[in-house]
Amino acid sequence: MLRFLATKLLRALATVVLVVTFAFVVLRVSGDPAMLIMGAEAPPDAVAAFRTAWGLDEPLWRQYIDYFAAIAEGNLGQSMRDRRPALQIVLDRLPDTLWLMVPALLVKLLIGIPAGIYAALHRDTWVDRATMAFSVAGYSVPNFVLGLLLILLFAVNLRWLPSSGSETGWHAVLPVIVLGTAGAGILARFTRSTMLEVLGQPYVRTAVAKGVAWHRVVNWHALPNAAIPTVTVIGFMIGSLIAGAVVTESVFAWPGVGRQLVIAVSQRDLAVVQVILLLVAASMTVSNLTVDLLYGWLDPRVRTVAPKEG
Amino acid sequence: MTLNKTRRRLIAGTLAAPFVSRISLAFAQSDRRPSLTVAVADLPPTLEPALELSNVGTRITYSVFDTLIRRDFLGSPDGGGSALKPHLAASWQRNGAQELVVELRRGVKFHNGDELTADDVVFTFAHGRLWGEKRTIPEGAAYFSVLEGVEALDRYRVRFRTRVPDVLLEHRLSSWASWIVNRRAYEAEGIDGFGQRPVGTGPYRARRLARDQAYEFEAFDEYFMGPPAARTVTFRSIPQLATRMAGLASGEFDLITNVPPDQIQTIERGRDVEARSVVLANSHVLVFDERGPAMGDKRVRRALSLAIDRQALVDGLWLGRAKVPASHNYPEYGAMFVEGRQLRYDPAQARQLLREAGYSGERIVYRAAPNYYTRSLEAAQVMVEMWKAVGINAALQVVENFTQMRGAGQQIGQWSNSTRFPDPLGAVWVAWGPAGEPQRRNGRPRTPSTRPAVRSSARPIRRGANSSSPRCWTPGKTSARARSSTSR
Amino acid sequence: MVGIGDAVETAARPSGWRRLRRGLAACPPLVSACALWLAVAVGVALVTELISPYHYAQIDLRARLQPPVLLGGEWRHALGTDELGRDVMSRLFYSIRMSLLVALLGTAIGAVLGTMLGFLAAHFRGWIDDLIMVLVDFQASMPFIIIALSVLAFFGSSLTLFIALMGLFGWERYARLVRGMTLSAKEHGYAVAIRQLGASPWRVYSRHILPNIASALIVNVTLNFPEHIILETGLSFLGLGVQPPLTSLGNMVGYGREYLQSAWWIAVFPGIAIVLTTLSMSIVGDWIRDRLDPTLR
Repeated sequence: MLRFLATKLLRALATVVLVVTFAFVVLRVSGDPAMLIMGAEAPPDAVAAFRTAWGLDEPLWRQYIDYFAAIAEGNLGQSMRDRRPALQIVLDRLPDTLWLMVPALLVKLLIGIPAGIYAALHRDTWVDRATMAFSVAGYSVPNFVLGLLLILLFAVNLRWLPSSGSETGWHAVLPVIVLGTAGAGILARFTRSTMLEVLGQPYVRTAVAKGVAWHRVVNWHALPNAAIPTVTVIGFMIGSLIAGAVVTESVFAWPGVGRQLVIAVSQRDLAVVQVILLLVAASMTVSNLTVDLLYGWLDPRVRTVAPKEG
Repeated sequence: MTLNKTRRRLIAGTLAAPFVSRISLAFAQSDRRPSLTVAVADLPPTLEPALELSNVGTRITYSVFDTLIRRDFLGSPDGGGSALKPHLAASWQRNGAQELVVELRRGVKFHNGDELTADDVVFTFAHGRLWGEKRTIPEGAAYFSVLEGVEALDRYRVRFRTRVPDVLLEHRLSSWASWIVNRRAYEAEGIDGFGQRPVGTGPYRARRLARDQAYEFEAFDEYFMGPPAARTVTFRSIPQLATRMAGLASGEFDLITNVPPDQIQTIERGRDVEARSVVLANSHVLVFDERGPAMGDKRVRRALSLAIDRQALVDGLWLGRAKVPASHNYPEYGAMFVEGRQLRYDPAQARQLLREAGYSGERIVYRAAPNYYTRSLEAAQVMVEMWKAVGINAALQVVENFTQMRGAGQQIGQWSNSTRFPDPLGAVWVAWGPAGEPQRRNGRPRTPSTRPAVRSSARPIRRGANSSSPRCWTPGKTSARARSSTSR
Repeated sequence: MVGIGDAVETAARPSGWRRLRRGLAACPPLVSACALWLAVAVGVALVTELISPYHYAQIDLRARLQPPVLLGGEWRHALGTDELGRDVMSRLFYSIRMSLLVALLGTAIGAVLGTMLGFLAAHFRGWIDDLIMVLVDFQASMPFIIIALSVLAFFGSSLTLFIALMGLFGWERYARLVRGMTLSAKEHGYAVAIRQLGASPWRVYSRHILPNIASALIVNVTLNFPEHIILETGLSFLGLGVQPPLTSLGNMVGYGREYLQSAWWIAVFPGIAIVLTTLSMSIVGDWIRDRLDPTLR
């Protein structure tokens, strides 16, 4: 068990380092923060002074080492736009992000999973087809189009809901609908296909043949087995909680981390981008780790490390 | 401007004047002034007024700070007036070509209660802030490198001395870099802190600044021109145009900015909504790099310029709300404006020039960034088709930022040149002169034919007397053809 | 997930294909309708030049924002024109071709790449497995915008590289899936038996294991293909998708979003195409999976 954990943790660390390195190189080589932040009309000596001040004219490997050395001291850098600490800037946006993403995740789970299970249990009936059609429609309409249409309907025409910003709970309704419908659709389809696979398994047929009540078959035999791959997908969704709603946040001017990532990337505000990536990579690996541990609990066959005769 | 009778909702192209009422009333009990919400595409990261010199920053700093001398934009019907009026300076007087003495208005208050004195002015224009080798405001040199010294003569009088004779000093003092800052707050907070907690003399005082979200300002009732017309003003960052328009239609926003002309009809369908546009003192320029393949021959470059039907662009994409400028040459230059120049559209001559130059179909790539200015990508696509129509093998390459645009092999790129103050020295000289980006980045020009006399002058001269435009330098590396000024 | 009893059915794999052919004759009308739409879309993509009245980049500044023919426009531009006066119908046809091409190739690249890496990870285990899993985690943790941006930055807006970029989207799910299923399949009786009979690993994988996981892979493909179209739309919104003057469905919707209230036809027609294609792909894919999967009744 300890070995299991240790390898997973090592893998997680390797992923985080890889993510940060990749972004480090790509962002620095493909754009000059000095010119992007100061504007295209800035005088060249000012641009040069900016680059020197932020250490951007050092060789790449040197900047890399300096960066990790600084992290070791707990210094995650400053935003080049206003010199405030990058970590603080990102953490300031985190509550708003969570206020959007957590309700959206709940909507996805509470609508998507039951819909998928229901469709699977009523396979090939009109209920199944309708549910699947709605699910696909949910994620195939581009989310910014859906967002704009909802704004036009509910904010402009009916004036029931606000169109942008994040002041009150009502402001979150439309963005959560947009995020939730797409995610619920995906989850519904996925859950349905997993349930169908499980329901076709021999042990399910055996249980039915033995005379077990159908609802017991579903609840005690089918669902736990279907939970395994579903949990993986949910793990991915949780991992992308922080920066996964870039487009929706932009449409609704929701002050979340996703939108901040876009701004920081386009201006090459390197420290802010790297902090966000660290957070995203960390949350993704934590959620993957949790999923792997859950696997071990849900499916005893996975716990064995050495391959055995089946 | 009426107060609170009807909440007229406006869209502004740019607003040159702060929200000010001409009547000073006492707002003793209930403050029934409106609270205004302005939706903008983005917010500046700092409110240090001279650091943020793009239109993103100046549309906010106009309401928070003042200059010594005010340029009377609204004095001319198109919003481009260039007459100078007293503002924080009650009067000024020239003592020769290199000296200006300014007398401050008495009793002007800062947001923190301090009175405006010569100290604050001297601090604003001190060596090391806007000018000098190691200045903290990098772009200040374009405006104030002529300064030699600034001293306080007494509590309310300041003397400016320049290194060379400079007839434009008053214009420089009315420009965007000349906002007067409060010395006490600036020294206490430092440049970064001051940017988050700005203190000026303007009609609105900063209340809460939430980065990339919303900036709130409250009325500063002791403003020297009288209490402002709104109780609070909030600038909200709403990146998507459609969302801004929706918020205007639903009543959540009172003003929105950055509206392309196509949308004006949609917006004006709403009751109570009006669109206003102003032609900005900014030209979109194509930058030709002569070192690029096929770009070395001057005739090819001229052909590229002659092949563009600028008026069709203005009429088609900007619905006539922009103007085709007469090169880097605007009416607001007053005496320095040269009449009768224009940028021609002549595809027949373009074809002929290409033949003479022996152009044989080499690929010419126009690198454009997607959101550099309103409709920039659409204009790029149209221009590529216009070039193809005269036989140039033109192609569009969309790049993400300027580093990529100016990478190796650049042939045609985008740029824009602003007019910082109404004179060639405040526009084309700043961008294309020795201190400007093209020359500095690409080394010294081949045959410099700079005329030092053009850099500043003791008295206004007629441009016509100097033959064509002042030739800042002969093309060594790059040259430009202005396309059009735009309204935003 | 595959029981011992299925070894018999697996050895009788051809019955799956036979079942498919039988099923083709008896497919429900909805599935036929969806298949028809897909056929139409593919047809449009193949003969675009023949059926488009205009070139997709043909600009006419005097005919901007014309409505479709039934709303006051002309037959010349049956679906209206866009903000540069280009014919929407012609651009729609070219966009269908571009989006299908990008999604098809992107899905194919992702599926092949992911499946191969999944097999490699499951076969060799050890540090190769760990390395590939780290890459999978990396792909999952890196916001796709950064990857998209880096491709755009380094390689410019070349279409070939954009397709390669799309291939990078989603490969990690194939890899994880294939790895997981291969690992469990390897340990089942039939696989062990075949190996002991002397079959090479590749024979085991391609002829015995792959067909068993095929249905899961097909589900993934049918989920993945429309995701590519939608991803491309999202990238176009951010300005990172197919770049002008080329056009795609996502590109048209992205650039047309400003005009939803005034010239809605620019965004709505490609939007409908996106929804119909995604829907059809999913329904047809489900039906194929149902027919092919030997474990389903």
